[in-house]
Amino acid sequence: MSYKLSTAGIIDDDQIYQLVMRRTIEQSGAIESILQFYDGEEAINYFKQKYNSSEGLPDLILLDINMPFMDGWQFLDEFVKIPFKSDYKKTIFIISSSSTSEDLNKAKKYNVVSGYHVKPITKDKFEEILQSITGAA
Amino acid sequence: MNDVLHFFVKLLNSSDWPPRWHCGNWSAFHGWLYIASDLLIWGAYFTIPLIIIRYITRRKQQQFRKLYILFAAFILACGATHFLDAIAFWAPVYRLSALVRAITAIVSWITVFTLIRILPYAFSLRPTQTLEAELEMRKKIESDLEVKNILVQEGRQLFKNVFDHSAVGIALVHPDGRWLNVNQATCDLLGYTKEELLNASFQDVTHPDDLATDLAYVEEMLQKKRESYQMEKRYITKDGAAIWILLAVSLTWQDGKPAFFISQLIDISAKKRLRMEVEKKNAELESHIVKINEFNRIVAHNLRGPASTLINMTDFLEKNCNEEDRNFLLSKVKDTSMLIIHTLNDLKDLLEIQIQQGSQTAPTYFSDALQSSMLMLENEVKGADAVLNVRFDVPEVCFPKPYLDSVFYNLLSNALKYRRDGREPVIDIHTTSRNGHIVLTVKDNGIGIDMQKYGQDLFKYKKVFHKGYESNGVGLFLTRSQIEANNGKIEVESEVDKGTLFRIYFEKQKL
Repeated sequence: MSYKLSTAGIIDDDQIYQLVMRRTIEQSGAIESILQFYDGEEAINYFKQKYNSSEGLPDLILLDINMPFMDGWQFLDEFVKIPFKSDYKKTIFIISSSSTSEDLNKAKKYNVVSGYHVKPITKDKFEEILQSITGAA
Repeated sequence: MNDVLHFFVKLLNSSDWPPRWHCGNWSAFHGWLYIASDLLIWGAYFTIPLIIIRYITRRKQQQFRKLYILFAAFILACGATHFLDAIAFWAPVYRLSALVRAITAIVSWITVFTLIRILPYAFSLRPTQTLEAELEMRKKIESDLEVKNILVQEGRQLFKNVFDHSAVGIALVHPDGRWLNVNQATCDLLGYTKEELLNASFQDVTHPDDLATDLAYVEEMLQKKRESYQMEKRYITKDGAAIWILLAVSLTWQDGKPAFFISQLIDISAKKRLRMEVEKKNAELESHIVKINEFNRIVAHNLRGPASTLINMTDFLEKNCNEEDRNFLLSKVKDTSMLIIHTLNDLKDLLEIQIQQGSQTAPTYFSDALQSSMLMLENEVKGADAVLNVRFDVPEVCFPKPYLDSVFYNLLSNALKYRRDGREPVIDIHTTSRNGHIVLTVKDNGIGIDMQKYGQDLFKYKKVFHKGYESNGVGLFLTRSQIEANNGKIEVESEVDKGTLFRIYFEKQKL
């Protein structure tokens, strides 16, 4: 794989998913470093701190919907308000266990969201997701 | 007398006179001019009557027929005198000539008299075509009048038929509101006899809440601001019941003055009832859809979530996986499975609450329910050193006892859990009555909730708002479900660091 992403951010309150996804990303070798956030609030605070620096911001964000304190939608509502530098390229995927049309339609309303994938995300599925970004880049 | 006899006996005898040629001194030209002219006149005078007779036999018109015949006879006779004058040059039948002249004279004078008598009438006559046109018009007017009469009669009959046999109540109403005439349907609708109604006004039987609207319409009609109106209004029947009527009213004017209203009354009580029922059912259906969607959301996130996590995990464990990860993951299997079981239990509770929705319940004392929940929270109350101010102005409510226990338990445990450090927890619990609703208020002075951030999610499943607390986001969710299933409502007011106030409105009690 010629194209390489520098940082991925996993935003999900599920510890098992966090570990499995982290290992899957590591094994793919496509991404250098991984950031882990256990709810939307934790993640948004990180972005609010780092928005002005050119380092440490993930180019791939895997976002869960159902989380305590701040869910995925609330995260997105806050995220789009952050005045990032124009050269910050990010791809956001929603990774949720929900396949209801309510959630799928809601995701389409966010321009910042590139895609929606329903859990479970196996190794093969993750390779597909990776290919969809690197192919498009 | 002898002369007359002699005259007629020798009528055709010409021997007493010489032929005219030999009487006097006739030049050939003079004689033949006389003869030729006389013959030509005779020819013409003979032809004209033929034409006249032909004309009157061809025409069907009988008018002046006698006059035409007289003219024909008179001209024919004139012609005959000229003929006899011409032949007198050879045959001097002067007696015949005299007779013919006498006949001519008589016919001429008869014609003259006839003409004089007819003339004024003839002058007054118009040409036949005008006459015919006028005749046509008269006929038309007559037939139109006849049709109009029939229509008027039919109209009266029709109105009478409609009035008498209509299923719709029809009434003629005086501008001041008195009933002038009512049909049977109106009597049937209102339950009064015709006599009773004719001694009353529409105001007497109108529902007091609808009278002002009706009178406003009447006023507008009398001021010619509108020609008719329709309204749905209630009448009070003789037995005191209120019925819904669709009323349509028009006003008839006579000589610039309002004469009477024509009111039509259609019973829409059944329709109204049906509509209200449909609206109620719709609201129920909508709330069911909301509940189904909520159920669907819980399944999608809270059941599918941990289930797909387990799949993800086994998929990962099957492949290369180090010892440390394996131990961590296996330690989480139980938690994840328990999560599924808990969610299933919550869903079961939710379904039970909704299945029991609307079922009749006996009154529950607030104090009993509070006591039950306090037993379960004994340690928490002691640990928090909390002060409870309880005042039940309304002592009881029709609400299932287990749910009321649960409502108190959840609200109190939250108030105790989210108390503010360094401040003595004070919880105010009281009931009151407001607009027919019993209202329960539970107010604390705890850490409060950021309503701007979480206001929308407060009663949603597994939503938590405070880090560092043992919260599962189920208590308020079930509390709301229990209250709504019994047609109640829960409200919240909260301010960070000040406290939270829950207000529960119970369904209006049927006494």
